[in-house]
Amino acid sequence: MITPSIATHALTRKYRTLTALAEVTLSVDPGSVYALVGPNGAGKTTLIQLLMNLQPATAGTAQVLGLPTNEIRGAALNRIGYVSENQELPEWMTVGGLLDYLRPFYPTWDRGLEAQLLRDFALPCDRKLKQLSRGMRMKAAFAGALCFRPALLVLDEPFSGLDPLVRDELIQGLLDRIGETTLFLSSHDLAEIESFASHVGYLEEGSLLFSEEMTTLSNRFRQVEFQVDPASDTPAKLPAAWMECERSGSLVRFTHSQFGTEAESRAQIATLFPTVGDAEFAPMSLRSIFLAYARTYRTVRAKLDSEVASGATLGGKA
Amino acid sequence: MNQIVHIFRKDARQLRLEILATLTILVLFGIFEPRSWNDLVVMTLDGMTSMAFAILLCIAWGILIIRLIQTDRLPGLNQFWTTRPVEWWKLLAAKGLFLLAFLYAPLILLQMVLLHLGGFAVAPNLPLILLDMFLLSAVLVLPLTSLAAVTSSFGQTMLVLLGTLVLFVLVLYVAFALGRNLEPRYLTSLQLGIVVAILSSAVVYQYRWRATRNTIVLCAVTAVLLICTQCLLPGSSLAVAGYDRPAQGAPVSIAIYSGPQPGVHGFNSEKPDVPTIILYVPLVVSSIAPGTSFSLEGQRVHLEGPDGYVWQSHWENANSVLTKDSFANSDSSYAVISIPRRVYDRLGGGTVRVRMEFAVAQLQEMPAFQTAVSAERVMVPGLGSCAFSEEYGTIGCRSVFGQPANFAVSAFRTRGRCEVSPGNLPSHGLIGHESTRESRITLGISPLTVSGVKFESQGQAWGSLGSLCIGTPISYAGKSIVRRMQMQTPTATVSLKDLAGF
Repeated sequence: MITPSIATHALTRKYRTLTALAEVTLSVDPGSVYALVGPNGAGKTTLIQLLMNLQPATAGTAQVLGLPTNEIRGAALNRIGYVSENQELPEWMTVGGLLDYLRPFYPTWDRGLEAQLLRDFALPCDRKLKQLSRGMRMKAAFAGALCFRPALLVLDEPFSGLDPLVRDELIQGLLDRIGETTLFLSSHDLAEIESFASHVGYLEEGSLLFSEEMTTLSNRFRQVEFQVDPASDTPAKLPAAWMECERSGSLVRFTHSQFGTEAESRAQIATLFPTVGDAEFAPMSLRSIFLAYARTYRTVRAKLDSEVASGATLGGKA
Repeated sequence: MNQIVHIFRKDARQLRLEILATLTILVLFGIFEPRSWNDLVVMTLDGMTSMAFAILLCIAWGILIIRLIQTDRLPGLNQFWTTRPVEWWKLLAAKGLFLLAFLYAPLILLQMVLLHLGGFAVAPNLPLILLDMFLLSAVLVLPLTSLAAVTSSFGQTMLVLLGTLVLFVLVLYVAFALGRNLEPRYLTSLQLGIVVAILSSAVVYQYRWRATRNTIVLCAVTAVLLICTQCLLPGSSLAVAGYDRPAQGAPVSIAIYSGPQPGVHGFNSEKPDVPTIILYVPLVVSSIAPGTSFSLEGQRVHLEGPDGYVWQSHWENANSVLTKDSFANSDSSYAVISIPRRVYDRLGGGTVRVRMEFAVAQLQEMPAFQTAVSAERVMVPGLGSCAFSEEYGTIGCRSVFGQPANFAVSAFRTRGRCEVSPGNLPSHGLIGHESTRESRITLGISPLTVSGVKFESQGQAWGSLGSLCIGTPISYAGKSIVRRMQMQTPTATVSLKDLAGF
């Protein structure tokens, strides 16, 4: 049995009354590229910091490269690379000085790869980090995290605020490492992730709403549109897998989150809308899936909150 | 070890300006300090410059320590080093190595050079140099390291440091307001032990766990324990426990003088809102054997009013010395003690029955070291190297680390030509650490302390003492504490108003 690069079980992090991460269970296979997506404040950075042993979990367990996360320190970090948009760099150092400083810490440091990355990223060795642009600093951080050929590379919002050219260069640098290194990254940049992630997990308000392979995710989501008789009624109860279902006159549109085959879906639609015309099934981008999930989650949440609030008010009156 | 040296090199590169500044100030201090060794009475420009460099050096060390710790910051989640294969203990060891290389080693080297320049052998004084390094660690290095380890930036450290200093000033104020309680003799050692034990544990803990909140609690515990030991230690019981009650007759007799009061006026305000009244209790001292002196370290007063009202003070610090030489003519001294205004008002300022208790250290002169007054340095065992200073007309002695031990000095002076003749006047003086309660070892950047012999004038004008002459005999007799004991005066009936000088 292959040990997962990352495995968490009911991982929870609370700050007094705030639950930043709620019982997250996930598994990342070696060699995969796992993209953790979710809106701001969803808990992506908290999850990464727990995995890197930067802060302790309140409950649950997590293992990274087979080690409990509370043992991820010192020599255990020989095999783990980490780059974060928020990480401080020793800005008084030159790029060359940074790599010179890091080199002795890693027995597996590859001088050839170092030279190649310096060339590919066009990094000026004699310039101080504080004199570099944000993009160049991020490239230097990437170089420092890739040269020792880590078994796992953890990236926290690595492309945030970077121009498209730098993003492409960094992604190319990552693509060259795929296979030998497991990538675990959080990002808002869904279009970029879609191009190379093999797995995706979606966090919303500390809860992991799904975690699966990109191909499975793409296959089960479809944007569906069809025409019905304008005089016909819309059924009161629609399938839970139909997200953001809306009707405008004769046009009905929804996001199918459990799409199997077109024939199955047409049959399901015909059951609910007997006057249905021809239905169209369009594949969805990761960005569209993400937005559909986010909006549906928030609508459901708002409805629940309002129900709870009205219940509380009634209770108060009683 | 490689990782330790690697981090050490990184820190040395990053902090090269701070290191350069610190070493430059240290060298300048080393240049000016020997020039101040002739300042026996007044501080010259060289002495003031040396002192200024000493202060600057402490500030530079402070900055160096804070910057060193915060180059690899401990609090927070975004530090570079925390996600690299850096072992915590190697990082801590690298910081220690840095301090050893750029703070302790240069200072030790400077102290060795100064000892050599001062005419002292270096090797026998190495233990004292190491003791000085320990004191420096307890007073400066460890507190600043702890503060830097729980703060994120230099500015934040400075703010916390300022707050801590304000707190300590308040504590000292409160301690003073609570009264001059007789503190246990081991108080300073206890406080140093608390600082070293807890703060060094806090630093190790913070490097191991980076649990800043817990480390702050440990630092706060240190502060609270220091406050408690300073303000709340029951001096009356703990401190006096170390003084025996002599089973046989006391080696000195102290009584309260109950005759006509000599009249010490003007020390107390007539205003009724003054919280304390100072009493000058005249004492009659007798039976002091030659070569013996008594240091009054603590005192307590009992007052009883004509209506039977009794009040007893806490044990307080006292600081005066009774010697045969001092009191050969007058046999008198004073005990100065303060009582609450309400007690004075309750007793009514009339006639009261007074009794005093003293915690006394008995000092005995050791066999004297005989030599002649010389402009060349003479090594006096236990005291240091001494020479006649023509500029100040007295003997100046250099001693290693802290005040020299207490010595009685006997010489002859002449008002005429410098020659040994029966007309020369015997002259007695003292040099050294007068307080018998405190350790004479003090923290210092310079290993040498310079002090001059204070010859007693015995009521005569300084100029009428005559001059010391080179080549005339001089003797130095060290004093050592032979016992500590409690003594008390017989009860005397005196006017409280007279004692208060109203």
